[in-house]
Amino acid sequence: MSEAPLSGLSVIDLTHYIGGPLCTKLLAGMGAEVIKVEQPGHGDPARRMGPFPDDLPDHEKSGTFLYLNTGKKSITLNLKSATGIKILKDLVKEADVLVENFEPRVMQSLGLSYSILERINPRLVITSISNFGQTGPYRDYKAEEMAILALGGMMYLIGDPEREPLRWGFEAAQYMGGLSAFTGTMAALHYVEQTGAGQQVDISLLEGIVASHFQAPEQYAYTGVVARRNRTMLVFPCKDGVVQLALQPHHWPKLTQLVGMPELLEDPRFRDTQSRTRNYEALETLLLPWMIERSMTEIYHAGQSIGFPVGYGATTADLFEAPQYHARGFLVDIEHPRAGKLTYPGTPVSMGDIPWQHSRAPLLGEHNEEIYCGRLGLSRGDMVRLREGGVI
Amino acid sequence: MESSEYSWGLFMTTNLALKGIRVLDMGMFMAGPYCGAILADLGAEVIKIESCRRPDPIRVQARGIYPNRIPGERPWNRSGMINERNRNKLGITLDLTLPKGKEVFKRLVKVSDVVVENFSRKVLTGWELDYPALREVNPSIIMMSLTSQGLTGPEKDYVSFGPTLEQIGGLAHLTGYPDQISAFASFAYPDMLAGALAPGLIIAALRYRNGTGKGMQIDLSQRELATFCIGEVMMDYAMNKRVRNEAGNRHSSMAPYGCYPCQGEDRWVTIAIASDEEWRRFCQVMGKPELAEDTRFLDVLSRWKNQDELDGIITRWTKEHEHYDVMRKLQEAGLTAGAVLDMRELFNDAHLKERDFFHVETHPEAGSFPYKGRPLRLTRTPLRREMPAPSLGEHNYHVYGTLLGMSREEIQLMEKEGVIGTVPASKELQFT
Repeated sequence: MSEAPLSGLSVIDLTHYIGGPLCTKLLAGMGAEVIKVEQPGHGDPARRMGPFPDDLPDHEKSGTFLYLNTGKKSITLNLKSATGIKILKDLVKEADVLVENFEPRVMQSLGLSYSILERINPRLVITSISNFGQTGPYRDYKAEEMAILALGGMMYLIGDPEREPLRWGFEAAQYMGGLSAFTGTMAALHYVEQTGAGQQVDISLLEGIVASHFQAPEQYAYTGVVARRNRTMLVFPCKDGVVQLALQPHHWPKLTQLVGMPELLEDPRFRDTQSRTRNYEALETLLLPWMIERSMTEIYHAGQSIGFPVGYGATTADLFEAPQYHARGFLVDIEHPRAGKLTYPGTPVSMGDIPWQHSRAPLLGEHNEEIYCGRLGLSRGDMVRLREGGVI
Repeated sequence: MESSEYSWGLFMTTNLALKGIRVLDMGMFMAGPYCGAILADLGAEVIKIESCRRPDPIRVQARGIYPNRIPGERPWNRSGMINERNRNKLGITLDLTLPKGKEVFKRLVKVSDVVVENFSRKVLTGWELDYPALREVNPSIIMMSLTSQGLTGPEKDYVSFGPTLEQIGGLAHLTGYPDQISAFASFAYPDMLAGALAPGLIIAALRYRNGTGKGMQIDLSQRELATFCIGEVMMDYAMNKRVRNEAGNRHSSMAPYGCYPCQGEDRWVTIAIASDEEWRRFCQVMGKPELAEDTRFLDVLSRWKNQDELDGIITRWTKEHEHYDVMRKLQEAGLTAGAVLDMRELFNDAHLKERDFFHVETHPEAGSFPYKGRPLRLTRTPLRREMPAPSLGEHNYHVYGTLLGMSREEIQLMEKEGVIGTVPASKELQFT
């Protein structure tokens, strides 16, 4: 068949901001044709979000937009006009997937609910990403990252027990939702190929966070213990930053070896995990002077060279320098006609010898002519009329 | 791979998205088993493979998460941790260090579609069961390798756990109180990211295999995935050489934005106000309409500069109310707020209840407990809720007998020779 896993797959992308575009970025990366449908004039609101080069806003230079929309085509279409809806339905007829992350009531109000689109194309997979899912009492609640971490039971567990709960400093719910939406889309596509039946995939960012708990839900269900924030353990300041140790029981001798304190092995205060936890402050006091004299990467490599799990608190600057990322070609240079050449995080996966599609993000409406004339058979004259009517 | 009917005696649901896909799940700890769990819940036939000498460490490092904290006679089958992420899987044991184990494993690979593993790279190479070896047995096999740092590069053999990965992937540095060492405290978020992405990659690879006949090894670096998930922060450095640091609960453009104390012990609510118009509505809800006229808070810039004062005023209001009440009042006014829920509240939350997110499953050795759902739902092919997690080696006879056609005597011999079994090999591994 094909040179890429998803070649031949056609995706209509009605998403904006982060979670939805991430899902379609992955589909595009694996070879699907993704047609991003943007509002005429403004486009994806992410185009107005930073970062911008030199902090100068320009809707073709948003770092958020450029990163999350690699490999896609862009057309503009006004979904609030009847003609716009008709054109979208024409596109849906030929598509395999439609991905959207509007508030749940929007698709319905546009006359684009699953039951309507299913009649146009019974094989269609609709992936809907929303804060709280397509049903339930919070369906129409407003949210952003922090509210989702709060309602997901995650925020209560993050931070110092004596202080306010803390949010994670990145868009965890958005990214988890985007990855899950990708997997859900792929599963639904597999089912289409087996049975011919499409369906709607319902992604709730809230549920993505609740599903991501490591152990607190099971701890509560099995023992009744309600987990709280814990004091931070095994994180040390060092000469130029922070290092984090992991201490499974079998790592203890390696830690004593790393810091050159074999006598700790005989110390009854640190005999087993329980006693090391109980006497953590004493352990910390012993280790701190050793840590503070050394740099993050020095400790990282010294620990790892004897099989002891150490991590260092990498900043984005450190990540751009990471030898491992360079050796694996994780960072990629992408040229863009307006934003210029920039280094982006590339793909975290390699699939055999199949190359990932890293082509740049589209300009707003860049592919109008290709899609409307080439695909839907409109004439140049039609295009002018649609433009004047505010449809594209 | 044509699936035999053998496991459908155990599984009743027929409208499953991934019906007919057979997966050998060698996953340990978190990322691998979570990937396998999503595949299993989507309907794949997932066979969890452990050995008595090397059971999934989560079985025995359960942090005391046993039913009512009672380990029982076979604690390795009673941990909430193992039982949560292995539902709907079959479970077998097989000692892959022994020649017989290797031989039998290859027979399984021959009749499977997918292998999932998250060992350190050297483990499978040491057993001579890495991708080149498995490809010889089954050229169309898809092998999903979820490693800390990928299968290549100078740090490929570096070992990691959740907390160290969060650091080296760049997540931890962005999180923390500005005046305190970064405190990430999730244990496994990069694992969960990998577990959510990997099933989709596997299905994409199956599509490729169905078209070309070719299998592949998928090399997923969890560290790279963590960095992939802070893409826009990375772009700020790429564009402006700007390093973002931990900012507590503050937002770069919204104010007020934060986590405020409410009535009760350790009760909190988050509030995020995005515009001047929202600010005026917020003042109404607080019953302080005059605040909207206060020049200190008139627009986003002045609110942002005077956040400390602003937070003090908001705190005086939130402290007089319960967190759910503050959330409802603000949401009814179209404003963003979220109650900070603890586990008891989470399990009882009206929204998750109505969406049937938690569901009770009965495990023969652990009893009946509610389990969380997954981060995705398919409307026509709902996630499966059929079988509790297998006990160690529970399906040995079923899988070796029915799938591989081995005789009872042959299986018993494997048992006698310690190739398979149902009890961890040492006291330490039994956690008794």
